[in-house]
Amino acid sequence: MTLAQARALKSALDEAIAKAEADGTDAVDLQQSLSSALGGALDELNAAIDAAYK
Amino acid sequence: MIRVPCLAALAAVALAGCATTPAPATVDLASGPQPQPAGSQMIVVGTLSTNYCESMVAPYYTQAIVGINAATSRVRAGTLTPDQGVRIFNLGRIARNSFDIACPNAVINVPALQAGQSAVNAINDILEGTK
Repeated sequence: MTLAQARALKSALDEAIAKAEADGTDAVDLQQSLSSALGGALDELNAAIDAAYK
Repeated sequence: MIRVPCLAALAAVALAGCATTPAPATVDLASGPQPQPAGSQMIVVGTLSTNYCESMVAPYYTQAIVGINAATSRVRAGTLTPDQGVRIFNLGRIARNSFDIACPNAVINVPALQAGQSAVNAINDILEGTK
């Protein structure tokens, strides 16, 4: 695992833990958090593409 | 879903831990999805191993995230064309859709993992080929 991957994982874990704490549950949905992170990254890429086309 | 205590161990052992059952011999997830013989496309890991399945899928998501972030930076810097960015974007969507269905109900969906990993490999190929 690269440092960049580890950072992405840590970010997703932090987000998933924060959500579980906010929800008052002991269950953490890591996969959901990772999927959201990937979706966010795709949104950023889409925005960069749009800007580059203009 | 995984439990908070397991997450600490998960990070500590770089996703190798949290498994209460050993990996099936037919799935070497440490080195990525492997080709499976016909008829074994869905592999039941065990009733207690949704944690394990989730932890095995996580590195694939992170590979995709890193590749997409690299593409975004390069499109912004002008070292990747918008058209190349669109190709990577579409591959990223394939990867996400594949990984999202790769871990249903304590089962590792090997074809979905392989499809997602192929998309990530294609992203990396584009990034490497345009340096």
